[in-house]
Amino acid sequence: MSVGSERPGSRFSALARLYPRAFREYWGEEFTGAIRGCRDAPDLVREAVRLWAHPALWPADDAAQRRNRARTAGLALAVVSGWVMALLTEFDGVRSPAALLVLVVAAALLTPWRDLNRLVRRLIRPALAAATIVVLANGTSLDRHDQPAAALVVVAWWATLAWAGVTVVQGLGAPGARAPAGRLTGGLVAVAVGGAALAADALVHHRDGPGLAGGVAFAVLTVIALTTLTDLRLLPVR
Amino acid sequence: VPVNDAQTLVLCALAEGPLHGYAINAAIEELTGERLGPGSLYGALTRLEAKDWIEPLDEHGRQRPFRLTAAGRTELTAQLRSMARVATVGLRSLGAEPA
Repeated sequence: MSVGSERPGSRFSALARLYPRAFREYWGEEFTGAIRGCRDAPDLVREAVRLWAHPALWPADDAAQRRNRARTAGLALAVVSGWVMALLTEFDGVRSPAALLVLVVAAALLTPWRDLNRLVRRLIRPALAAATIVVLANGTSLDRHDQPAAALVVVAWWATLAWAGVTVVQGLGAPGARAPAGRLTGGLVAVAVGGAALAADALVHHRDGPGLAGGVAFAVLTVIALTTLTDLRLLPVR
Repeated sequence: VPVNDAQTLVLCALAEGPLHGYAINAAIEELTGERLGPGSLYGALTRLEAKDWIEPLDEHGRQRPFRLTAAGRTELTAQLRSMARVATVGLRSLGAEPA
């Protein structure tokens, strides 16, 4: 196709990739075909951000799928909060055991325990990778004064933890898993409470550098947990 | 239940009958003089469908028409009455004629 015959908004239809997959698959070409050009970019970005904060409202087959999405989102928020907390503890000395305990309770409430076998199978590869890194870090083959190699091991360790977290959420967010209303609400409340406590602690006691960034991240995660809770109240039961 | 402007406009556009996305935006343009951006339009449709205030009909090509549900009609009526009350009081306070 020549440049002259190209539809005006087609170059900007790539912005549709900012949207959740469920949204893109549901609306398809009707959505991308409505993009007129660069003037739509701010609207597209703003609405994509809003949609990511409302996973329970994404297109779904039924209410059970929406609840399952909300549960997966809550679990993802708990895992990400724990991961950020671990990073801050490692690099900025931030510690908040009470908030971490609340996040653990949240994860326990949001975990579909019947699917644990599937989760364990999925975790085999990240666990092997983590074990390899531990052996490398403690083994004699790694020179402790070799800065680039040591940095590589640290990055690999945190990347492996992130991989394990994504694996947990993907495994437990699979379609078909039921999300009982009481545990779902309790879990999301716990995520919001834990996230708010971590945000307050990081923003009050660690106002610069990683502490500030972590505080903002916790605040954003808390807002998503709260909006998901609100959305669940608005949704019809069917 | 609060409804933001884009959702209210979409509900208003659908009040006269089923429409697909492009036609909804054309109706909104006729009503307000401006079209919604594609993010706002399809985001609003997504939210309204999640709340069961609108429902899809059979697709025509790549277009998916929607219509108001009974719950959506009730919600829109409540919203418009609330807005009309605010407009009436505001215009009266300003000493202006009703629109």
